[in-house]
Amino acid sequence: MFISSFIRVICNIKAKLALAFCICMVLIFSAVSQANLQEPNIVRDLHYGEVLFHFYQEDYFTSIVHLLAARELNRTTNHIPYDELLLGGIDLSYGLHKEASRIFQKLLQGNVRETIKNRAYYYLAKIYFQRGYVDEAEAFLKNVRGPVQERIFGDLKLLMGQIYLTQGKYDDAISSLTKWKGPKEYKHYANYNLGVAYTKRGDIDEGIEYLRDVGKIKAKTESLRTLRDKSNLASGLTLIQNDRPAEAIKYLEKVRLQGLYSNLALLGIGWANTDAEKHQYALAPLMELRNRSAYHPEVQEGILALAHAYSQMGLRGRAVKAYEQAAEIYLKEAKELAQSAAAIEQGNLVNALLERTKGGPQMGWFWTLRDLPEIPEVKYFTELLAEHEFHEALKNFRDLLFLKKNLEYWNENIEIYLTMLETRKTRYQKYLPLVKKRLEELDITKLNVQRDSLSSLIDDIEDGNEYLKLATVEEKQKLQKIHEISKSLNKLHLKDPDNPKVKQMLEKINLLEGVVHWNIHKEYISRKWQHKQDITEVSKHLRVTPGKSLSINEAIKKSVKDFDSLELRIHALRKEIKRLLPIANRVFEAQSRYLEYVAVKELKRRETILVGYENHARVALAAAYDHAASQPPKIEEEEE
Amino acid sequence: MFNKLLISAFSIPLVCLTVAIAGVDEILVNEEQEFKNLDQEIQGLKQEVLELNRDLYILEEELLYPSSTQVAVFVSVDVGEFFDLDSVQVVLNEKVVANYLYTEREVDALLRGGVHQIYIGNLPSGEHELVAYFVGRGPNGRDFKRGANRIIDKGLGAKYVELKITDRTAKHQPDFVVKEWE
Repeated sequence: MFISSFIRVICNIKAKLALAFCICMVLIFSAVSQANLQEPNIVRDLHYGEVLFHFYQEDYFTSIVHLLAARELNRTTNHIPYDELLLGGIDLSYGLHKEASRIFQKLLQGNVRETIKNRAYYYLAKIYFQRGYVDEAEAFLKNVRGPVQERIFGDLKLLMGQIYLTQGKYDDAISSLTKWKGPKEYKHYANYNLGVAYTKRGDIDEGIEYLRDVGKIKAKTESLRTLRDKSNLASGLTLIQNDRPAEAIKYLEKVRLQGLYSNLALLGIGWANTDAEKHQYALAPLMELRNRSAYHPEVQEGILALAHAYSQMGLRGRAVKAYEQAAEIYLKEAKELAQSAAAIEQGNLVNALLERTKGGPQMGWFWTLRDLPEIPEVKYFTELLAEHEFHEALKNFRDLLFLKKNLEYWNENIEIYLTMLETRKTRYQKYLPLVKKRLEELDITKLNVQRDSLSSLIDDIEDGNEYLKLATVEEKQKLQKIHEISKSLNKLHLKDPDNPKVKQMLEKINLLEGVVHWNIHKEYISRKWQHKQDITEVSKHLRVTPGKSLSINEAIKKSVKDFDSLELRIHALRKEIKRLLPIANRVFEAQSRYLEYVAVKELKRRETILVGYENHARVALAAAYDHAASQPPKIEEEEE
Repeated sequence: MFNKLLISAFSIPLVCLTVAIAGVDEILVNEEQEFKNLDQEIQGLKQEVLELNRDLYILEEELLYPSSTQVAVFVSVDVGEFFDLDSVQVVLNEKVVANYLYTEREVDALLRGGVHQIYIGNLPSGEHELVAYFVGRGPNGRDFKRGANRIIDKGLGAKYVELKITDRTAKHQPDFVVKEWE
């Protein structure tokens, strides 16, 4: 729901009001800063693609570990030097500015193509800009030479624009961002920055034109919707600043009612109406604002503005009531802030976060806002997250927690590898003598003679068509039995030649013998072929056996060395884990205290402001009482 | 008049705040320095733990899947317009060795060029039969299940196999390829 429709619903008013208020604009930049770190999507090494699989899921820890391992094992050779560029980029995403900077500087010293150098300069500029070294960042970007690939062009131009804006070089910023040739999806961000540059230079109308265009985009993603809100807000506040409130109001009304900037937009509309002395139109947005969390500075200001609007409308009773309510709200909110700060100081925040991660080690970057703990003592948690310093401190806290748990896991499990190695060694020692004995007993000459003899036997069978020699045991047994029966029947026939039964039996047995012979002969060709194949196979194995014996002997020697080397490596790694674990615990504790410190500092800052507001509300209240004592109310007040 | 009132109104807390901040200026500078040191320490620790994990990863692979017997199977998606991947099953020598159900996030990573290692194990030298089943949604959103098989020849070194999902644009159908890498 947009603010405009909300106001129509609540008050059914048409916004043609004035405003005079000043709020500084903020640049948008981070949303598009995640540049494509890799070359076009052609994976020439599977392990390089595997790293990308984790990186694209923002699992930076795993992607760095796998990339380091893949590089160590020469599994990304087809992606040199992009693999190094990728490593620097992921390091940067994981907060390792120092290491990323080292990698990019090293890349620049090497003999690499201009496109690689350009990317390295871009990332270095980004690192330096993020760390506050704006001039150095500009110098890095000025080293970019030749045509730049489209995929990096957008990020590069945006960064350049932001650097110039920070330096106050608005003309340069404008020329850097005008006639956008980068990716289309970045165009809106560029136009936003361009609008800001123009307005900062004093060309309000030109600036508003760009901001207005961005404020009208059909946004499909939340980041674009936020940008649209921000543009409308920036237009509105710029116009307020330049005494053009009637125009400002239509931009402010376009800001979504539930978006990130809704509070500021509501306050802006309130100010606009108040300033135009159309106080009745200020009431709806300011009353909506009053119902929101009093933690936000805009809400706090809105409460006072509402009381002021009543006062200006001559509704002194309501004004008095509103000032009283404001003072109470400020007092209550300040108390709650103080209580929350005390709870954080007692460790409630850190304990709740630790409770949340009891399930096991989890990559810090996977945490999302909805996964955060519900802490009754710290109702300001989500608001605190909007603060850059707290957000950064929390990210480091999460990462350290992950590192700590990772080290704890390995500390418990590294022994398994030693056991595994020991088992393998024992097994090896058990079977090694057997293998060695077999190798020693192996007589290739004898086996070759056997093979030759079998081969000539098959040849003889073939020459003499002696198919019976290839009969199976079962078939041979059958023939044997037939012969025995036939022999017995012949004897009976000699004794009693006229016996028809014996004659019939003899005929049958002769027929049966013929059938068996027929079947054996039928199988003869395929059996002969199979035997020849087997002999060929045996010959093949006999040819490679001497070589295999040698390689087995070498493998035995190598394995003994490997066992020793693996054991040494496991011991060294165990030592390293034990060295790092206390460091991780200490740094984690320090970061926990720092996180608490940042949270408490912010809450106390807000508390101080609230105390100031409360004082003002009470002063205004006293003035209202004085006024009421000296003059009767002008008009009859209606119920709210 | 209103603006003047506002200026005077908001000057009160601002002054209070300025005084409050001025009072703790020195402490803040010290704390900022402390934080910078802490940040340096965190970066150093992260780097050391990453390198440790790299060594452990390599060690684990050497111990569990030595290169002489190692076989790894990977899944990749090229374009993927005609197939929405849900899951993949890998069968090696008539034995199911991997069953993987993909999340939306993982499918997105695959579409962007990522490659998923679905299986790693050991096999002796020689020929082995690999069958892969791909389950998902095919053209027009219909349920789709396809198999692809290949006899893989395992030599002395590690064997990598890629299960590649591509689009056959001419036929408006997905294609499933088993590719061997050396």
